[in-house]
Amino acid sequence: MTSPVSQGADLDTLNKVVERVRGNIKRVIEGKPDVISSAVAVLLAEGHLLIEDVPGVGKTMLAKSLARSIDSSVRRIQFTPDLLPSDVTGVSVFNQNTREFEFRPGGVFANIVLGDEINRASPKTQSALLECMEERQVTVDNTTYTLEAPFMVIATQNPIEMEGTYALPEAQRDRFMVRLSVGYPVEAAEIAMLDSHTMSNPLDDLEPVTDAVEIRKLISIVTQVHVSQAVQRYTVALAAATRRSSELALGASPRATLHLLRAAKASAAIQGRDYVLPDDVLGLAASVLTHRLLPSVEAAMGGRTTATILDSIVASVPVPEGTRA
Amino acid sequence: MRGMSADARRDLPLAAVAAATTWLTMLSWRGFSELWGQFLGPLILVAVVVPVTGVLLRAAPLSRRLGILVHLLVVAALVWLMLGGSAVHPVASTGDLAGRIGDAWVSAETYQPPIPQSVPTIAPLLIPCGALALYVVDVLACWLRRVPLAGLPLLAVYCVPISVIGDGVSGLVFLFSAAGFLLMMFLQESAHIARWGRPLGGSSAAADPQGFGVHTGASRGSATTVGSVAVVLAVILPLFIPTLHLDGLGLFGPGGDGGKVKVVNPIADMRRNLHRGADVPLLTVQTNDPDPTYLRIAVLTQFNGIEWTSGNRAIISDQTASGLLPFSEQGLSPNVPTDQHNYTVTATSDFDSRWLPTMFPATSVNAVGDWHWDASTMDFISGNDSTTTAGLTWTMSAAKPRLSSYSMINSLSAPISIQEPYTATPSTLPNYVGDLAQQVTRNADSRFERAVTLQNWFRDNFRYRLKSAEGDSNEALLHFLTKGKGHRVGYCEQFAAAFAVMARTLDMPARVAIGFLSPEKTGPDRYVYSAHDMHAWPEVYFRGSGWVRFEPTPSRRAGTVPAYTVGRAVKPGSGDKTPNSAGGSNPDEPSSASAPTKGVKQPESAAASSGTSVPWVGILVGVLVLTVIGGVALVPSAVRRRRRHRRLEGGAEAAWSELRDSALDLGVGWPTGRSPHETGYLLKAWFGAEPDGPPLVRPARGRGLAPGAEDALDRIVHALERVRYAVRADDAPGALADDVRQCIAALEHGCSRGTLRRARWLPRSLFGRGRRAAARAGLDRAPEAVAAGGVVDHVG
Repeated sequence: MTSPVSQGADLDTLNKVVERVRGNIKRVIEGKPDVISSAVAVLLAEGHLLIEDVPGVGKTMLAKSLARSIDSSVRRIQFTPDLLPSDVTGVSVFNQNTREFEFRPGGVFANIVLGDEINRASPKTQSALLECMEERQVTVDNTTYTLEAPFMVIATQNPIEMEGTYALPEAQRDRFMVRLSVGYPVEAAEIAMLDSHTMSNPLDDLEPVTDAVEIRKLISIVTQVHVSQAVQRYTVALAAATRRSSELALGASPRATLHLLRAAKASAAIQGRDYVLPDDVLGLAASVLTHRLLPSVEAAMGGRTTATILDSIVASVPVPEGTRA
Repeated sequence: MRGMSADARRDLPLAAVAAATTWLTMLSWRGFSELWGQFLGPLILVAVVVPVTGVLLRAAPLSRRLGILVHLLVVAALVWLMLGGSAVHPVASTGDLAGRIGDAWVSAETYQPPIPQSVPTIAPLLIPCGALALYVVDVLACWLRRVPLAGLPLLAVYCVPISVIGDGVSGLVFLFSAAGFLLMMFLQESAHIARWGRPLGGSSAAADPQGFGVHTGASRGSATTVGSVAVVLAVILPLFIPTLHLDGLGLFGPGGDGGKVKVVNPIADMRRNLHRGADVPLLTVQTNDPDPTYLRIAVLTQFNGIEWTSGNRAIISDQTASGLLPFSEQGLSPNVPTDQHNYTVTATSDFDSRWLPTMFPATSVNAVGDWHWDASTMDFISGNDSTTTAGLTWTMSAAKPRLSSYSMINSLSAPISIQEPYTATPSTLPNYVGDLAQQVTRNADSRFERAVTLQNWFRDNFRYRLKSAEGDSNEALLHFLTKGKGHRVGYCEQFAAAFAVMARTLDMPARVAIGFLSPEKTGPDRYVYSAHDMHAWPEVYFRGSGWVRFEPTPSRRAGTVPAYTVGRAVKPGSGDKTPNSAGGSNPDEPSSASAPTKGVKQPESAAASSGTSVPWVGILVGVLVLTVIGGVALVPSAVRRRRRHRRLEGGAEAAWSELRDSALDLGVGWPTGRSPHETGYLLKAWFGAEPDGPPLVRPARGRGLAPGAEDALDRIVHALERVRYAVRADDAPGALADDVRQCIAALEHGCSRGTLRRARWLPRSLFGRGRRAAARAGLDRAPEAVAAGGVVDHVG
């Protein structure tokens, strides 16, 4: 797994593609390079992305622009309260002509699945995503259908409106590699947005800059990024510290550790490195871990959020000086 | 230039007041010498030169440091010339100068202030000290503008005579000093006030701080009030506090405690009179005695382990000073030939004693008043408080025996009535005293010879110094008798007391007499005893000869020994390893010490013998110690240099360690437990730009000031990251040496000179404390600071 990347050319290719994708998305989402980079990193790390923010900051826009930058199958599922699990996974219908049950794939059968307003669907429907997100397959009527790689779920949700929403279950949240907030744009970016978005929908002009085949190749490049034992120890130490913390009722799962390291590898590759630094892990810890953690009652009463608790934990875990591994 | 002259004009009053105040404070030094004009006069010149030179130098375009140095040189040169140093032959005159200072030192060592006129003056010591005080006050008040601090040297100048002379410093001097000091404070503070609101660019207005509407008149009024009240209170309040005593305002009176001499407790009063400043005439004697020495005041008969006392005297009403005295009571055999002398003694009104000075052994005393004699001691004490010697005239006759050493050698032991009380020693007396007495006198056969041997032993092996530890207690006695630095030094009281105690341990009846040593002859048959003539001596009883006087006090004070003790000296016992004088080894020859010498006081010869030898051993040891200290001080710097050299030859990890240690040395917090990238980011905040002028006291530092060094640091961090976290890395030894040097230089540019010196001579990284501090700096850091990235705890 950790065999070295033999040619720097692979990383160059990766960088070029990433740069194209980022440039493409930047045409739609103004002034959010970090968010865009994180989203691309999640794509290359084979993770799923949860975009959580207030309405109108461009969650759906980000998801759609990322999907549209890649020449691949994109399906969009609008999660509404009446959405059924079968709408997500697909359903077998009786074909009167052939007199057989025929499987009609649901929304998840695509390379990139946009789950808009995911917390508006009932937990039953949300749970339909569990298998496909983790195992990249769908089982309907005893038949298992494998999903094509790359497979990425980009979900958006609105944390403000509580009426008629269902919070994502822990198991579901844990399956999202990264949770991002888009945030309000800075003034200049907002003015630029007024220019570009009032004339026409820039999304309409967006052309794909890469395809699924290339993305698959990039994903394999990312998997070959080297992780030293020091960094592995550091990642595990971070996760372990969240489990020990008295301020957290639920710490990071082993899957979280894995996601953190995979995201760090993608981040390192995007920065042109064939090895992961502790700083990569450190920089992604907040976005990878916070949505999986549950603060203890005392901490919550004390006004501590998972973000501030995680900051304290990160500051208290020393980076191992380590040697080559 | 106009501005400078204005500065100088403003500067001059403060400098002048500072110098005048210092000189006036030095008036308290008058008590040091009878000829105080010898040093206070020349110091007037210094007090003029110091402020004038200071003002000129401050107006000159010199750096302050250089100005202070030049000022010092000028003052030093002036003092040099004043002390007789030759500007033409500076080297040749050094010897003379050293000799004069040596003489002055010996005078200061030997005599209590005021130093008499007859001995070498102590001006060569006091003039440099005074000049130094003037200079230091000027530096503090005018060069450094720290007038409150200048109060400290002034206080020192004022306090030195108080500690040396006692409470005999004039209060008027204090008044002058305090007023001068307050005036200095006022001048400085009003200059401060006048600087408020100076218009920008208004050079003409700036030239005259009082010219733009700031009036110091109001503040002057309140300052005068506050200052006067403070000074008056400082003078008046102590008068009501019992522990403090100011001697009125007697500015130009003698430095001592007035002219009154009160004798109630003889030994304490003798001590005080010997230490007192001025020599006051106390008694005038008209007599036909050619040698009216050893006039007794009182006899101390009891030693209680703490002090010698006159015991509890019963005043017997019929034993009055009104005619003949029983001669037999004094233990003298009728066979001993005597010389009869008559005395008429007049005490000055200054001599206020309850003890009547009489010659021993007196045959008759006639004194007005309630005087009573004691049969065993034959001294006279007044029966009531109103009877004192002040202004009294009395007559007496004495029959001075011509004592024969032969008869004393062969004398029988004393009668029990004398033997028992006069050989009593306290049980607390250390055995050492008796053992020492035995050792010293082991070669002497008779009791008389033992007494003579003891006397000569004291005179040969001890030194006379008035300024020595006081007291006769057991501890003081041991200190006096044992050898060592500062031991075996004392004055008559200690000699007499020690002799008497040692004699008692040898079973010889002994006691201590207090009186006058030798008077000054002022006319035919006319003598004057003064306060400085007071003396103490031991008396030993020999049957048939009565109480016989001995003189253990060395020849510097008591030039002669009693005639009957000459020629009978026996070599002191070998138990005492002190080299003996030639006289001691030959009993038939008078010893150099025991032979009569030409004068009573011989300071000059003592000065020649004690003041000129160069302590080469001390100097060598000092040089050696300094060398060792210097060597030890160089070790950390050398170790650190070698470590740096070794690390610069190494790879990325070594370079990183070197960078960390250099940061610690420079007091830059080094976070532990942070990634190289983050550490590098934090470290850049400590980088300073290369100064284009002289190094600044507080140089700027921060990111972006040293881009070259920041790039170098990035390279180091990158190399370290590759070594630590990548699969392959080119960790070439020494490749990062230049980058590390560049980073260290940037760190140094951001540090003050003091920090640089400390980093060089006392690198913290070599000591555990620096490392622990670094660990703390890393882990105590608030997470917000990590996020902000700008705050690093400063190590210790």
